[in-house]
Amino acid sequence: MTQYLRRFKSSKFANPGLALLFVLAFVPLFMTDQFVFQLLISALLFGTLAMAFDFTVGFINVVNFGFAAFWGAGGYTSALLAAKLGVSPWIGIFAGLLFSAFLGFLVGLLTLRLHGIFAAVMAWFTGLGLMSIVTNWTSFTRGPLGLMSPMFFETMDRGQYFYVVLVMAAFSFFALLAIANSRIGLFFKAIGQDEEAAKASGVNPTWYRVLNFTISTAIAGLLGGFYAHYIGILTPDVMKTSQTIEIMALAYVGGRGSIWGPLVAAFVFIPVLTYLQPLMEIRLIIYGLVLIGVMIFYPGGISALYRNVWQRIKG
Amino acid sequence: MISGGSLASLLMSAVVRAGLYTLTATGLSLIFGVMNVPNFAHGELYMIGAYIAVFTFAELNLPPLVAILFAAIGGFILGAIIEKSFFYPLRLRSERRKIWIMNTFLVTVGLSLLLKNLIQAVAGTKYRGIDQYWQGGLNVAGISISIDRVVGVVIAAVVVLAFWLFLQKTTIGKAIRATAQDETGARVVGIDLNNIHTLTFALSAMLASIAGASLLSLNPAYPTMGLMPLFSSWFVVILVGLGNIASIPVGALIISLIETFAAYSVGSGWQRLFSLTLIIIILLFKPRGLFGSDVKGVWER
Amino acid sequence: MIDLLKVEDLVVGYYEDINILQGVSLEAEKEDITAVLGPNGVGKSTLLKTICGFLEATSGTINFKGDPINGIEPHNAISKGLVYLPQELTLFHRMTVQENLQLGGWTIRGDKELVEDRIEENYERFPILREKSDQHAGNLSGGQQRMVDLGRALMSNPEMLLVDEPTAGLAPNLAGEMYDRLISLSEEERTILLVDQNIRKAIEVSDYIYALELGKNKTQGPREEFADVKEVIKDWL
Repeated sequence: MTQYLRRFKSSKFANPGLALLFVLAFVPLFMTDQFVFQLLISALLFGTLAMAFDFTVGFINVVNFGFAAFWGAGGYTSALLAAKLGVSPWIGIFAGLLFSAFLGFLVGLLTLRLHGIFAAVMAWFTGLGLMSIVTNWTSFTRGPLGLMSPMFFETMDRGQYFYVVLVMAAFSFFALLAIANSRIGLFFKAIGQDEEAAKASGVNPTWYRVLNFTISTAIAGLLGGFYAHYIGILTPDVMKTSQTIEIMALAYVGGRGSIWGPLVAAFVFIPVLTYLQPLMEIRLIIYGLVLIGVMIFYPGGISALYRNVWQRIKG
Repeated sequence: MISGGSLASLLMSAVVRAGLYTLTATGLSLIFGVMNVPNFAHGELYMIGAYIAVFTFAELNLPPLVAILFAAIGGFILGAIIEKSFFYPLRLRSERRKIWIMNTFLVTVGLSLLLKNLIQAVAGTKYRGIDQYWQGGLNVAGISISIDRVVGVVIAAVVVLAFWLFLQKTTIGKAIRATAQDETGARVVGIDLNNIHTLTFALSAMLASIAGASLLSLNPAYPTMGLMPLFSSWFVVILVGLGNIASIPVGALIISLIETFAAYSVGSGWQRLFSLTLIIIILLFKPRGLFGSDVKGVWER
Repeated sequence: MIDLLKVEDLVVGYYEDINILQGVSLEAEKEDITAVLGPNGVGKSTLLKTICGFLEATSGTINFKGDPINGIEPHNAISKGLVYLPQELTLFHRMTVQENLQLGGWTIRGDKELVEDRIEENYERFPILREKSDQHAGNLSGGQQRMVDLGRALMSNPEMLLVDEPTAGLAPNLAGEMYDRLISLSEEERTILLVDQNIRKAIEVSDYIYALELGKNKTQGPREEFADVKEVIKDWL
């Protein structure tokens, strides 16, 4: 048993993110407060989106600035299937995952030759294009009026939703970390650091960049489906650039390239800032200041901080 | 089929729009060229200009041109403060340009959140507009145009022209262009990059601020008003080539014509999809823009 | 014997543990051409970049005209009378020759007449540049670009020029011309510190020579001691 634990300790999953997920699994046993559940669901939702965002920016070094459009697309797919064809949300969310992954695949192709700000702008504009379609195709999506979407459960109890999103978060956490620590993750990093050198050593950037986009947006799509059937109504606002910014801020503050950092960042910021909810401006001002501060003074974010502190403790 | 009268008025509104886009896009392109900062907070500088004009014109009852002048000065000072307090310390800490571009992008994203919400905390979310700066209208070939719009376009044209002459003819303007073309060369001849960067950012903020102020009667001031000018300046700048300032008026006219006529023929709302599609095609096939990018070093990454 | 530039025990590294220069010392005498030679990668360019402030030294001192100039900002070097000509041309390629020269006089921009006079001097020195004065620097030939580069550097009337590989990429006849220019500049009472791969030619034009090896001084001496170029090269290989 101890030997098993020791092996686990040195494994790629042993990080504060895993501890967080582990603790969260037991929360409902001694907690029924609906408001707390709402906070935890929000944090898990955005934390998982931020992990998926990090999977792209922290590895292949491309900022998917249209990210919110993909989770919106997943949500709309599932909600539309339920509304138009009566498909169960439990099936719809996987359709959302697939559709979003398909869109991610396409945008991966579109950004293939671009780097840095140009890739970010390309992803941004395609995201805006998707949002523009959803907004204006009112006969199909009802546009800004909002699309009603059936809920997962009949009850109003948030505890059940909490477990759904926890499972999704845990799945994403393990899947993303497993890929990140495999050979494929190594290729991603190689491409992110120096695409020409990676190409010279036999890594095919085309395939890996598109693959990376597809995986990241698949997760976004899955969580979009969850959001649709958790909130019950979708408007094109879910695809707004400000949503991408919130996710991106979590990814950067959490620390790029760690996967777990963004999840932890979500649990640091979302609860704290939600307590300030009545003062929405203050909340976003703090977001802005934290983002600027991290970028200037500590671009490694929470995960780099953790690594440094840990190394100091070990000597 | 578009009638003659409505064609003329469509063209007129496209020209007004083009003037606005030229003002905002010039500043955006300039700071990318000189400092390699892709500014996401550019729209917020436009928004600040609009608020300054509302305050000086509607609250203090100052003459329109004075209000716009105040917006220009306010934008300039704010730009200088932003550069010194955010980009200067970041520059001291970044050695590699490759990291610099995306890091500054994130800083400007934070800046955008900061400015937008500071204004919202102070002024609320209410729309604050004015009916017009100047009363009356002109009658040209059977269509009436409000003087306000005409003056708006004239101000845009004069400011852009003056700025262009400043860049081409003065020694400081040449130093700004020199920095964009070869940073090492600029340092070798003794140009202090810190001063050039602060000045460039301040000028860029000033241009955006003037745009926000001079079109106040068309676009009332509110905290998130900067988003649309941000989109369109990025469209224009990508279309003509990031860092290429001389071609901006052409790009601005192309984008505004597309948007104006698309809005007219397929209904407003969809017009943005047209310009988006165009820009995506440009990024795919001619990422350096229609007229080429001037900026050295960006293409390595 | 007046040392215009005196470098002592200079240690410079790009990364924390790897030092490109590991204690280099040299002196450049006034109105001399002093050459720094050595195979690729011994830190010759690093030395020049550090002297004019593009890189920071970990330790060691740099004195120019008797004043310490360690850690000088690159843009301040020129007003001390020190100008740097990097190996890769740094012309403003989308500006005219005239504008490039004008910006070379950035530090004297307050005195318009002086700037005009210096531009005129340059046109007399390089008559071809007068013909090309309205053309973009980026459109000139390699040899002409080198002339603009040198002309731009001379606009501030520097006492000392730090020249890195001035003939890289030039045809032999153009390279010969460039060396003649360097000699005539030193006759104009300017001091030159020359970094060069072209060992034979560099020895020919220099008054004093330093040879580096892996970030350290190897040998030094007046030109006469390096007379047998073949011996020198063999020694390095």
